[in-house]
Amino acid sequence: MNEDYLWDKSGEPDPEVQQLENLLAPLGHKPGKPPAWRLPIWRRPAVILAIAASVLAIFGAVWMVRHNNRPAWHVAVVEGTPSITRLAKGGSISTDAHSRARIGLDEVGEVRVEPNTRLSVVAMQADEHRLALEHGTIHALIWAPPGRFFVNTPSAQAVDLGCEYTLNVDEKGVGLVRVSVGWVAFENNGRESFIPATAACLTRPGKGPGIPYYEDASAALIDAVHRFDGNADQPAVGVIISETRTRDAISLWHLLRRVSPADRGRVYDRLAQSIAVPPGVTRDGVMAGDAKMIDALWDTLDLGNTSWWRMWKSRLPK
Amino acid sequence: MAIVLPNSGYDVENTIALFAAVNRPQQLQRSLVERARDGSRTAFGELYEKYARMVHGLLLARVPHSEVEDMVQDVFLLAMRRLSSLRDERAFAGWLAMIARNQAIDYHRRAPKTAELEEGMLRANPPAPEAFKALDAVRELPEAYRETLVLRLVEGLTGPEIAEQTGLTPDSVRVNLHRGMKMLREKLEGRAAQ
Repeated sequence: MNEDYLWDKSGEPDPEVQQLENLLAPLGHKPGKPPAWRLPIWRRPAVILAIAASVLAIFGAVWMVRHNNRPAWHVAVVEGTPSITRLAKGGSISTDAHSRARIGLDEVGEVRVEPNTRLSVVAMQADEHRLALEHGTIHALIWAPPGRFFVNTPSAQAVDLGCEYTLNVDEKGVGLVRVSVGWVAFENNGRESFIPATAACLTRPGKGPGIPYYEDASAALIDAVHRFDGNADQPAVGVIISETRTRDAISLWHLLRRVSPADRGRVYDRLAQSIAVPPGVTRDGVMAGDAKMIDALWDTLDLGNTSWWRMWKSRLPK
Repeated sequence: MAIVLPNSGYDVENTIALFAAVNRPQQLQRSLVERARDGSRTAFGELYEKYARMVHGLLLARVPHSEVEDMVQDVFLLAMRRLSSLRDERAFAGWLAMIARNQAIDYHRRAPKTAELEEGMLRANPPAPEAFKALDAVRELPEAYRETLVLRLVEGLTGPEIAEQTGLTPDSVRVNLHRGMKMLREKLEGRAAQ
């Protein structure tokens, strides 16, 4: 037997093997077409792509619905060309010299955005609705409970205490709040000013909230307050003391906490002339910065109890 | 010397060789398998063309001739459905052979016995009756020899092709051919003498 031929058909054909090959070959496989075969439908690229596209479309639709249902300030154009209709967290609105808008949130209130203003939404939570005023002017009418609506300015946050007010930030970042109804607090790094209706207050970059004053105070007093806010001008302290009416005790109370120890005595003396100093409060104690005595002085201003102030202050975001 | 497992027809050498062979790099096969797995009917056609004779031979060694062509188609369709489960594409040939053998076993579990010779004679150009007799003689050989001889004598594959397509080593195929041919010759001579 030719082993080579049996192995790989090389060499001289082995007659016996060749005879068997010829005999058995008709039983072998006949070349033909392979069976019809296709990938299962769920594995075909087109189907996979279609499924992926459908999933993406569903997720996209869900995202759109959820996105549109996110809490957002509704924007109404009062004048000009602001084009957005919703203002969600992270969004902002800008007005030019010829446009103004009004944004509203049912559970918070309404804010009018004046020309040349840029305003953005920093937070939208049940207990904290926070805007940031980069520059320009807003007028806020807030009906949310006190301590839930805030406006950041470059040098302080304005905390609404249930009120209506106008807030302006100029090109240098200096903020001015003018309160029409209720109260506003300016706060920055522990420095705070409480501004009642018909009063105003400046806040300056690098210095923070200034001394609040009633807008019907004398021009000399207002000028002196601004000078003191700007550079702690010592002569201004004398003007404030001399120009103070009884009603302006709120300015003296704030000044008491900010003047140098050398001036604190005469500020206290002027304040003591305007109000009835409560029992337990002494000049020495106030000069030493006794917090309880200073709080007791506030209570005599007829601007609300200090416990009320502490209540909303405890709700300030840390 | 080959160690033959009782009642199996396989020897241990062949089994070890099979597992060694399935790990051999076979670049062409790998790319065809990959493409078929991705749904390429062209690649499927090439795999069919390349391995159909092997599958036909493995089936013919076990089931009636009249059933084999349909079963070849079934084996390929089944393999394509399961192709995504084949982790090592280099093992495709041995894996396909295993499917063919299992299909043959399934056939015997469920199919009634038929008179193969009659069916063969119903064809338009039936093989000679002597062909079926020779095939019967081959089928009486131990399984390892039976498969190898069918692939060589019926399907016309060479020894190296049998080794490549079944996953056996060339040495195992050579031994199977030699011993199988010797046993077949003895059987045929014995029948002729009767």
